[in-house]
Amino acid sequence: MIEIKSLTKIYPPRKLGIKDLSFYVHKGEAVGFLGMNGAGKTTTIKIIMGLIKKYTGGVTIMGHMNPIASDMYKKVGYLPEVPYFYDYLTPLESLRLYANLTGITVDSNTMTALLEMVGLKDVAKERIANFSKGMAQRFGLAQAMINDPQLLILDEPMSGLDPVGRKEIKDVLIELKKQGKTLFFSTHIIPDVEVICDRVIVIEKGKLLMDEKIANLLSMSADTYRVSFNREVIDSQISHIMLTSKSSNLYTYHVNGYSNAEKLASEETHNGSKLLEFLELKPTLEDYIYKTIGSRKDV
Amino acid sequence: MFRRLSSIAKITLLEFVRNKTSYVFLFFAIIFIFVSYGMGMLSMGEYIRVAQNTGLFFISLLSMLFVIFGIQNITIRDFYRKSIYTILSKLNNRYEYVLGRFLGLTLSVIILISVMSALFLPAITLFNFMMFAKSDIHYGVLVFALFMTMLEMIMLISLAMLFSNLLSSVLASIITFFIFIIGNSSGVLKIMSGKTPLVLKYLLLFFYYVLPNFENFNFRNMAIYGIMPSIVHIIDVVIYFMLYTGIILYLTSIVFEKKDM
Repeated sequence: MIEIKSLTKIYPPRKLGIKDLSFYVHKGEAVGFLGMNGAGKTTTIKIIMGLIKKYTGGVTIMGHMNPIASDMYKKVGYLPEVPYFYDYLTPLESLRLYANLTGITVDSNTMTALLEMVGLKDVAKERIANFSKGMAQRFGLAQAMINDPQLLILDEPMSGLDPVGRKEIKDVLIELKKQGKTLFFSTHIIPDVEVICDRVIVIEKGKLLMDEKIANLLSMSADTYRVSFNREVIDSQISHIMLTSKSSNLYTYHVNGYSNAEKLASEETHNGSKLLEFLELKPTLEDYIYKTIGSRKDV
Repeated sequence: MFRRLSSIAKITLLEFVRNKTSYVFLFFAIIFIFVSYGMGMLSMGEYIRVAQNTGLFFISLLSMLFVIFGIQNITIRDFYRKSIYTILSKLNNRYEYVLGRFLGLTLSVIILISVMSALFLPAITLFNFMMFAKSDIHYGVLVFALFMTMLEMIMLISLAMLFSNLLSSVLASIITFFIFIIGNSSGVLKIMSGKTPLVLKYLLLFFYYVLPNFENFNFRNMAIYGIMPSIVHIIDVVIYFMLYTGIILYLTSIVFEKKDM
């Protein structure tokens, strides 16, 4: 669906946007595009969408090397970062505008259904000027879907949404994925990527840092175990043990390595302690991303 | 393509219909009609001619400001707030956006000048009716002069669009304003070129031929005296308008096509 080859963008005079970036997105895949602020996510998306013209490298969309000339953007839905829409129009008028620009005819029922999908049916005839940031974001998703695209490229679709709105949009994206649409979206909300996406691409300072299937990442064991007893462990010779919480009769430890955890459990039960919990800690995607990027503040 | 062009033209027009700024222009148009009347009253025996001259001047001035503010408004919305991203992602070619906006702005200016004319012409008739000494009002030539103001403004739209693609919105507005002023006195450049040293002479001649000659469209004085220009003159002006506007629009499309968003 999307193939990026050796993409490089330098902003004048010499600011690096992205450097030698290559990746692909297969048909029907949902791919999360992550990176810190300024990593080059929006630049990459703008190049894919033909909004940035001066770059080196190649962009192929649906097998076409020149997406603009081959009219490929008609089959793509795009939501820009922090979208702004003509606030003197209503959502219905705007959707009609976007349909006309795409060259398709969309009836009122389809437009209303789209607005209902993103939770804006009740405000279909109100001017966008009265919309909150979250409502504008939802409308952005509706306009991206006006042409029933096979490929959706979304630049931070969850940005500006409250938890309820985020859940609604997440559900819409999951539903689109079920329908076989290809999703490629940038975000800072890693748990959403874990739920929606098949694969994650991480870039840092314009370069590819990680391109991995989420299932592969999650199946890798972190090799850390949580072991709890009814009393404190005293004088254990086992290394890599860390007390993480304690209450009157619950002492919880994190132990690195299965053999260490098993040894600790058998030693303590032998010493009269009661084993209350023995659990492998499953890492989240967030853990891997943080570990990869090396920052816990802002991914 | 026509559907896409008309859609962009339609939202441009809607923007001005729904935008309160447009009504401010109409409000000033009404104020200026009374100012024209006042100016006429201050003149000695040339009441209606002075009122007509002042009225035509104000229509031209308001239209010029409308073009500059209109394009600045569009530039801020589309480029600075980035609403153009979703528009361009759905268009076949970027020049469709340029032409669509141009058409929309042209329609807006035609409507504005028509409304102002619809206020101005009856007002002049009424002023004349109220005067003790009646004057001849040459409605045909007046309407022709107003039509030429429309062409002048349409040409200005193409220039303002080019500058808004090359410069920041404020700078583009300032440059457009000064080009309008210089273009309305381009005859002075030619006269000056005959009285200056060689290098300056060619520089002035260069500006004379490259900058738009808005003086070509000024038929206000002729309208007041009821003098209709010859057909050859009119055809000359219309051909100049079409060529100049066409070239500028073509340049705007090229610049816009290569622009990074």
